[in-house]
Amino acid sequence: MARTDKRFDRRTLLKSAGGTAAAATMISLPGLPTRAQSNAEIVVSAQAFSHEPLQPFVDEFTAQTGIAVTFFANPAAGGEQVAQLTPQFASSSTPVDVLSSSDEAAPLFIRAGWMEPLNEIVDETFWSDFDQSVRDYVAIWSSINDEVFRIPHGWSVGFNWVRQDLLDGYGLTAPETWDDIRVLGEAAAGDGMFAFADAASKPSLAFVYAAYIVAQSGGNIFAFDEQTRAAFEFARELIDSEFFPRDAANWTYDQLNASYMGDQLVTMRQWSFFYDVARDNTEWFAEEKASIVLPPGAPDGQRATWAGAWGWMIPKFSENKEAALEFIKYISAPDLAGPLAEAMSDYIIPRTSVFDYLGDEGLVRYHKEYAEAGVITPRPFHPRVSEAQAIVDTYFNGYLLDQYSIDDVISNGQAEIAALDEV
Amino acid sequence: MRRLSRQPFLVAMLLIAPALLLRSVTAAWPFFNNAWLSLHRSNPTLGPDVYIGFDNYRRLFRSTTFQETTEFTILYTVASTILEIAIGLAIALLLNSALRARSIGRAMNLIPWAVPVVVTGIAFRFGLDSSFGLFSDLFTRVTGFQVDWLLDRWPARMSIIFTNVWRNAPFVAVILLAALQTVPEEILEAAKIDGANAVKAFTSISLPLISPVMLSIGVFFLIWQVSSFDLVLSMTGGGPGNSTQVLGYQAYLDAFQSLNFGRSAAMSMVLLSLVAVTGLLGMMLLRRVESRVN
Repeated sequence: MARTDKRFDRRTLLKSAGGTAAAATMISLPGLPTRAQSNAEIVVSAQAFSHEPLQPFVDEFTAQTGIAVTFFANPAAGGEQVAQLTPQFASSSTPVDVLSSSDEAAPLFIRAGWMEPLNEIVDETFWSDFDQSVRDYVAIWSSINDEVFRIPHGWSVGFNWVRQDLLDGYGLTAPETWDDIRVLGEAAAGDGMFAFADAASKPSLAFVYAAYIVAQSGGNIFAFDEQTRAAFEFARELIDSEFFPRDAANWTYDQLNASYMGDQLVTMRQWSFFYDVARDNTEWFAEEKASIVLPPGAPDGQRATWAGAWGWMIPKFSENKEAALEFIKYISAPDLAGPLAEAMSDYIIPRTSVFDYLGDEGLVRYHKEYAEAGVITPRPFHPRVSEAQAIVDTYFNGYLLDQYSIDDVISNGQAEIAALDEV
Repeated sequence: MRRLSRQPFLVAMLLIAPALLLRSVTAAWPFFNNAWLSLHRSNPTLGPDVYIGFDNYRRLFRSTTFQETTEFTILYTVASTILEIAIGLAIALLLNSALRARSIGRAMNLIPWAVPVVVTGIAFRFGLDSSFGLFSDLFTRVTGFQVDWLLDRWPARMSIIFTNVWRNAPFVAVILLAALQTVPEEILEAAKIDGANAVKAFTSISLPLISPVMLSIGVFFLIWQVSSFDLVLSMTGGGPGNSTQVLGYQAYLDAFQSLNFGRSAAMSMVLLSLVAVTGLLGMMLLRRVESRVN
């Protein structure tokens, strides 16, 4: 082999270094929110934990249509999605073609005019597969003027988890009313346990708990009405009576789970993801330790909880709308809903196709039970949802921790909600 | 070229033009744009921007939440900075002394500062939990008092300030250690010969000589901390109620959770004015101290 006589001079070094730097920059770009690629390739934003279970379905989609799919990671918390995507949407571009969007983000994105209507892929036959609770929810949360912008794929229900083993020991049944929680509180106090808990910290979690008990009292949480006052006073009474841990007002869901699995709580409100969390804790888990029963209700209210959703949307700045529509049509089809729900408990949603496919096994049994009992109310809606939720968050959390009187909470809450209409 | 060389002002302008252009794009334009935005109702969910004059500011200053938030922002910034310098100085003196484990101590000192802020916040959130928190339990065992560290207004405020100091004091210590090592050994030796004890030598020689560094780091920390919110976000989320809310976090929430860009811009302008006043006062003080030292 002939030996070349090329010298590695300074110019070559600079050129190589420049080339390497440019290449490194290009390689790093896919991690940043860049403009979505065109042609038969779409970028789908979904929560990171769902990428792997979704992959076989996506591969099938690619085989059928020739449209390649790349995943983009959603943040775990719904509100952070607003922070993640707003800068790019506000500058009329998008890093994604399809977006799995949260309740905190979707109404803002829709009202800002950044989303594409999806009516052409959904008709009455499509919706007939969904339970009425989901259709009511879609009408409020995902539509404007009869135009649908988001197709729900995940249904988060606030379940009532109970320690059946402890209840049996106390000779009590699961609480059906707020009075039953008081009775359970007295019984559990002897064992140094709390009757009930939910994580009620800022930001966001305090709102989730507040909306749960206000649903039971039948109030309108954003009106700070009399039923809201009654629900807040009940929540405070539980803390003052030591039936509900005061620390929970600064707990995350991890801390709530730790406390429940640390045998400190007899019942709790928690999302459906606890189903897997409990089963993963093999040393602690037994069926009777993580039973799901219908939620309690206020004396003059109803047994109720609320549900929120994640759903598919298309940013109107996408350059691949046709391919994106194809993807949503495929992934939302009734014949795929069952297998998707089987692959991921987060994709269990009250649809006839899902219930038929999964039968009565596992978590779907409780979804069905809640849907049939009619205890699922739509998530409380406000056109400026993030700000309205933040107001509830602050005053409810502050009231639980004795920072405000109930009169201040109601009057300031009403004034601040009213002020949202001014600006 | 010859003609240019006769006009030094023009040459100077040509030379600094690239830097000036860069700063205009990265600093001046965002500043003026933000100021302009603060005079508008700017929220994409409500339609196009509408000019509303100083309404955003008027509403802010009328809001009790904003007053409470501003109050804690100032308290958090000032208290943290004073404590960081005091404790940082104590650590620096310790690390500057002839201890046997000095090298290990210097390396270990920086560990809290190397831990990401959010990790620190979450760790302290768990540690200070009244039910199963390690620090809470330790405090109760040692003192016999039960304190709900993150649940009551003042304990929560103290907890956030303490955690911030725990994280930043080691960094201040490193800077002050470097400053202490510039104090000429012969002056300290001469003072010792003249009968000055360690305290006298420190207060009369070392402290005046390192005071410009202390002041500089103080001004920098005031400026950095007045707009920081990562610790608040991860420890209390601003609660209980609004007791530990800070302006930087509120501005972030307004812009990137609520899309209320106008109000967020107004809050950022208030924050900026706090930083500007702090910086100006700090610079004036620094010049005075430097002239006294020199």
